[in-house]
Amino acid sequence: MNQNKDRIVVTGMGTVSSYGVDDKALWSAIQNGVLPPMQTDVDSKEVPRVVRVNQFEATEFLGKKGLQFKQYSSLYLSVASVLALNDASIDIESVQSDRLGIVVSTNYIGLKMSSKFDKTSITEGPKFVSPMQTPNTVVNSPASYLAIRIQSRAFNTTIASGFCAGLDALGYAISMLKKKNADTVVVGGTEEWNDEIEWYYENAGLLPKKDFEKSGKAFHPESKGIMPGEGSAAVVLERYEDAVKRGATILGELVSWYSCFTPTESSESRIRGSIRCMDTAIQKGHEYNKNIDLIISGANGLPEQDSIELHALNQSFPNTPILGIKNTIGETSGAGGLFQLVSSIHAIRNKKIAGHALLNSSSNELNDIRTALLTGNNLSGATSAVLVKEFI
Amino acid sequence: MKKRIAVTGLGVLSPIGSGQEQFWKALISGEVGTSEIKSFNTSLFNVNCGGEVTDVDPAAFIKKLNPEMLGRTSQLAVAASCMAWSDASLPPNIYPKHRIGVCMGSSLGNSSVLESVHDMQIRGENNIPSDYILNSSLDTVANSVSIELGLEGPSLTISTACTSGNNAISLGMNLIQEGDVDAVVVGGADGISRFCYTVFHRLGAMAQELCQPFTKDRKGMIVSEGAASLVLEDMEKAKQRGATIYAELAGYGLSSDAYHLTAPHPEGMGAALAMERAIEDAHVEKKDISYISAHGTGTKANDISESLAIYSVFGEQTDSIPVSSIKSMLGHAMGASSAIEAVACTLAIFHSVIPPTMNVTELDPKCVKNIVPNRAIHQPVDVAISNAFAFGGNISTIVLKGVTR
Repeated sequence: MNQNKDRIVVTGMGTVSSYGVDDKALWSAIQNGVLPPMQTDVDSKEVPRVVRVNQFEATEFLGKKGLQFKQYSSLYLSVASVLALNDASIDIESVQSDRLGIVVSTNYIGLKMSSKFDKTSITEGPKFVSPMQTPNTVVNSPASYLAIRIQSRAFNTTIASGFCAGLDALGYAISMLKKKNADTVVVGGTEEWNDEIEWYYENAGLLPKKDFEKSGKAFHPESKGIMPGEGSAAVVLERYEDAVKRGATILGELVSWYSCFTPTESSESRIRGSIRCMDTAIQKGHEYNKNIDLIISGANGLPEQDSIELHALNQSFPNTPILGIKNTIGETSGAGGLFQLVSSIHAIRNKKIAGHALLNSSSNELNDIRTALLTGNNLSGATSAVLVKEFI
Repeated sequence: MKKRIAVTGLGVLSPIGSGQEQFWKALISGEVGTSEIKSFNTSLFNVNCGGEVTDVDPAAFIKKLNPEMLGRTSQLAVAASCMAWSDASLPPNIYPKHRIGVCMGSSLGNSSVLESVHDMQIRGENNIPSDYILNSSLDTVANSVSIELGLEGPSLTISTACTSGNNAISLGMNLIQEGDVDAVVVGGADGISRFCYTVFHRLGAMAQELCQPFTKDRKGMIVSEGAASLVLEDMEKAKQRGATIYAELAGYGLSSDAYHLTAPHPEGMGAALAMERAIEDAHVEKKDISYISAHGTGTKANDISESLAIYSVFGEQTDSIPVSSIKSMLGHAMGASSAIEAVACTLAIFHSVIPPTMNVTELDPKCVKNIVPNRAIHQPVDVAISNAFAFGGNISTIVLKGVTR
């Protein structure tokens, strides 16, 4: 039996974040536990922090044509994906388009334009909305723009499972590659920050009302809410044999995915659900808890969710170092899982994380990382996990 | 060898009737469920026709969550899933709860929440519960179903515009075939939406009164709402427990036009690819296809593109295969439409009846010809394929097969 048959590998990655269009700069910030600066309003009063994308000029990567009606989330995704394809040394002119697939994770992308369409319709009249903006009313618009840009025809799927969406998109891509529904899959997560999303976060009770400095910090006992972020992370996935055949550089192996749901609000049940999810992902990857070198957590500073995850991690991985990237990049929602994957690849390749960047503060500097478990928890009881390994 | 997938439970809410029996009876009688929209003021639009679920209150199915805090789409998803769950008659504990998943598709999510918030803001009401706003997000569509049914497997919402239902069905199939679950509740839901109405109104894509797929003088599509859910099980396990197996979900095919954000490929390139892939995945022969449930929106561009795709896949055989569009009766329920059509195909196989395309007058010579005009046909359906197309050139086709009873 060919044991390499079902192996899925990462061969390219790209990011657009508050650390520019540069995944190495992003990793450097995460690796060193950089915290975003506090923000103030016009009266110099502190306001909730939002980690915004900067040093971003879409035309540098995409040219000028066809960008006029694209939302930032679509631009971020397209740039991150083009970078990932370049990193994988895949020329989209020569790739077989009906074997190239796309999976996107995002949650709030249609919100701005659908809200604007409705408000305009009931206040000014339906003819005053822009027909050019109609594609932007639906959440799969970034994926659609990307498909046209890179001529991807195999499939084009958008997963919107909340804070677990990024990890779930990776699970979906693994499955599609194993089923041979594509030879190459671009998986990207993207979110943008705009006035409608800000309204949603604020009124859904996800933002803190005070103590902004402590908020958005994973597992911090006084954190009362999220520090939102925006941006996009994308990776190129292939079957191992195809990657080897074309001489690709393999950055890491995406071993397994699993997701569970806890249909009650009981913390004990959700802790059990979280443990079951992590255990199943590890078992599917034929690994053992003791071999996990690093947890890259989806914790985001929401007290109840973080508490559940921390209890689960303490039970299953009492001595394993935990990295919480959202302290540095914010809660990027649908993009979060992809940022976790990119971080894990860098962690495995660089094999070094500063002790103060880790969430379990007693940990010393981490110097040897071969296997990482990525975790995500959604507000309503979903939990997902992805196992990533050094490619050997 | 890959696992075979049984369809063992069906639930549906639609403008022509809700519940499997009512829906089927109306469908094969050719009842048209689109009429003047009641749930929002259409006086600002130059059309007022739509399809709404009026015979059942979906909120009545919600027992654990507070229905007032849920959007219309989540309510519809829960109601359809409760119907399907009940229909499947799964004995308690036959599968561990964590081995049963939920995959729901929705294009618009709970847009009713945002629309009602806008109305409240205009009235000067600003005290809106945070839980209500939180539940506007797409993930609550699948998660609400998991909570109401007490299921602990993966709970995933897919949003690929109007192919969402078929995409969720194919994802559920993957989960069973890969051994992640033993059973899964799959489907799609979308509540009637004022912003969606605005979108299609602005695009000039809506018909004034009737949806007339494949008819020469067709005027466009009609926005509607609905939900449908199917319970899928590992075929061997379903047989072991003596389940009623309506049909086999035999395969699926996905593709993307990569052509235009709102228009289909003029020659149906992606649609042909998805159908070819679905047929291959299902291990069936083209000559065995006995019914095609068309996406059939009733727009000029869609129906021609789909027809060209069908001709390119089936060649000379095309005119011998009945092709119908039930959107002529239901309107276009967005992310729910393909899930509803999956239920229709399943029942067509189970009852050996092909639902009609209604409102047909003179056929469009550029379209498929064998469109089951205005009256259902009673004949065996061994293999049915169901197409779904969406904004962004997203395409998904599923294949359902009869099971020897």
